[in-house]
Parts: sequence; C-alpha cells; structure tokens
Amino acid sequence: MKISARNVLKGKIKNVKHGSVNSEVMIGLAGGAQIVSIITKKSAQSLRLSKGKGVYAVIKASNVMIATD
Amino acid sequence: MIESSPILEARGIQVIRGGTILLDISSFLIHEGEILSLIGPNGAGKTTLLQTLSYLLKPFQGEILFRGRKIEANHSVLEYRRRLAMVFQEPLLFDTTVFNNVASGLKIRGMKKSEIHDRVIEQLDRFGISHLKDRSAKTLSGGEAQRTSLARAFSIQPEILLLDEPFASLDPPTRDALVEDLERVLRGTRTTAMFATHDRLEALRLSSRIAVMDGGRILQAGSPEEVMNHPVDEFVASFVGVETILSGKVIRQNGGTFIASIEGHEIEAVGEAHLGETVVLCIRPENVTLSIRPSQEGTSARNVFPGRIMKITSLGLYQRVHLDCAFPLVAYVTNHSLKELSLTEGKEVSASFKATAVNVIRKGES
Repeated sequence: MKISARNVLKGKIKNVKHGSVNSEVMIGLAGGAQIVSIITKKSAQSLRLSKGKGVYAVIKASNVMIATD
Repeated sequence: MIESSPILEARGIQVIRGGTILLDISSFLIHEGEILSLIGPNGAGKTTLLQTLSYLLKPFQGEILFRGRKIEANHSVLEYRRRLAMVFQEPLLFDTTVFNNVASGLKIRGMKKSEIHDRVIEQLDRFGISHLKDRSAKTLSGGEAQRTSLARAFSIQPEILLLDEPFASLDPPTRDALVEDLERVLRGTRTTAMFATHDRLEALRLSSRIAVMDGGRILQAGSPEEVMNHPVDEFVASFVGVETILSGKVIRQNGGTFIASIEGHEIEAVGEAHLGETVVLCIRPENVTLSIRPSQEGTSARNVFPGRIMKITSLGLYQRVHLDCAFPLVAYVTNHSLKELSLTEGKEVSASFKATAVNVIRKGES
C-alpha cells in the first residue's frame, strides 16, 4: 500500500475489546512487542477484525512521541 | 444572518505615542448582535483598540460613530460610555460585597433600589454566584471574581460589551467553565461583544467574526472559517494555526459518533451533537494521511476523501500539503513520503483521517 505514513508495522491481532463507541485492538508485532490502537467500533466491524487476523499498524512519524529513561 | 447596520464604526483611527504608531486602523465596523474576537500576539494593539473604542485612551486621531452618530464633546462621550461595559483580565472589583459590586453600575445610573435588587439577583443567578452574594470581593477565587466582574458588566444591559483577555489569568478548568457560561449568556441576551484573546479555540468557539491584529493594524477580518482557511499572509497563517477548520451541520447520529455535512460531503467525528446542530470541525494536519488513489479502502480511518494537491510548502523537516477535497484540507507529510509517493502540485491523491482525530466545537442550533 502506498501511503504517506512512515511507519507501517505488520502484526497479528491478539485481542479486540469493544466499547460502546470505540474498540481497542491489541496487535502483536514480530519480536514480541505490542501496539494498541483505538478505532471506532464501526471500523473494527467493517474490517472484520478478530483475534489472529494479520493487520498493519499505521502511524505517522509526527505522531510518535519519544521518551528517555 | 441578516446584515444589520453597524452599531459601532471607527474611521481613520491612529494612536501615536512618543513617535510610535500604536494603532492604525483605517476602517472598522461591528454589527448589532455580532461577537467579534480580536486575536494577535502581545503588543499587537488589541488592548489599545478596545481602550480607544471605549474612550479610555486619549487623545487619538480619527472618529468613532455609535449607531451612525459621531461621538464628540464631553457630553456625548459620557452618554456613549454609559451604554457600554468593559471586562478586563483583572476583575478590578471594589472592596465591598459581591452584591454591591454587581450593583455599582446601576447605582451610578440612579436606578431605584428595588429594581437594582432584582437585576443583581438575576445576574448572580446567571453566572452561578448567588451563594456568594454577601461575601467580600477580597475573599473570592480568581474564577469567582471574574464571574462577579461579568455579572457587573451584564447588569447594566450594555449595548456593547468589550472584554480584554477576560480569561487569560485563570486555570484551564475554571476558564472552560467560564467560557461556557459566557457563551450561553452572550447568545441568550444577544449582546454585541468584542473580545481580545490570544486563544484561537476560544475565538472560534465564541465569535461570529475574527479580526487578526499585529503591529497596531488589522491584518484580516472575516468569519472564523475564512480567516483560518484562507489567511491573507504568512503571519496570519502562522498565528491562527494551521488546522483545517470546517463548518457544517449534523445530519446523522450514530451512538457516540455523528456525521456532519460539509458542502455536501460527509465527515464523521466522535462526540455528541444534536441533529441539525451547527458544528465546527478542526482537523490537525499531523493527523491527515495521504495515499495514492485508490488504495485506502482497507484502513480503519472513517474519513477518506479524494482530493487534488493545490500547493506544497516546505516547513523544513516536513511539508505542508494543501488539498482541495471539494473542501480545503491541509496535511503534513515528511520529505521522505513526499518523494516516495511523488507528491506534486496537481496530483490526485486520497486523504484520510480518523473520526477520533476531529476536534468538535458545537455552535448550537441556528
């Protein structure tokens, strides 16, 4: 997919929790790191997201914060 | 809105102190019922303009017309001053009770005691400070003091209310509550108001027109959407911020999200809003992603629009991309993405942003 977002991370859905409006999707990345995404419930349904499905986490470079110890 | 005759008009106003021009306004109008915000950095001339319009700052060149009549000589100045009220950043309360503070403007006007009582009670109630009626003004918190100051201003039922950064020294929660109450009272009473602020969101929320000032001049005046989306120069653009600001009406609700119609296009946002309500949607360029069409059906972004790149401006580390999606939209992309997607002016792309990335300002039924 040609997209301007610089970070496109491939992973597998570990868990989907639906709230009343939003859904929380936990994505497991290669190497064991996890990334969480909050999307609308409608999007979760229309993309048929469920445990085990292969997906991409897409994050714009301008939205990544950096912290140090 | 019907264009009514101006309640206040200023022509050729110049304030010069020690050879420096503090204010230079060739023409300026405010219409009945309008809420105008003056925004600009410190030293832009906002306070000077408010003080000149209220005849607190003299001398100045030029003329001011109130309801079409020129204000001149001492008599008409006093007459004019009595029809307007001012609220400052510092509440400037008298050392007496809250009740007496709110009553002070009415006493000066020689109103009857029983009438004063009723008016004051009404204003205290309106600003949620009835319980503080007998408290000494000295013991009030910042928020309570500013509420008292607003109640005092509204008690005289001013024909024009001038506010000079009334919330600038309050903490955010106090400020939000007060902005909300002021908005309700201004709309309820249809008071003509003009206020100086350096908070863009406050200006967006309260005003029907925005004037951007710098160096004693008004650089641009217009509706919030006009000023935010079509700034006349780089200074205005950098000051008003770079978000896309769109105004539309809510056409569908969907349990926690709603769809607003913007020039016939549907934008989905998370939040509560009534059907038919006017909303202003703010979309930050950091939150807009571009892709080459057609390829974005497979993402979770609720808002995907085809658009054409109108202009690309370099901001150093990243690029500002102006799109025409039938409505204007601005996106930031990195230099790397610009090259990789070969983004150029005139190219057709697909822009997307999440429903949760839309900041909603409710403007109520109209």
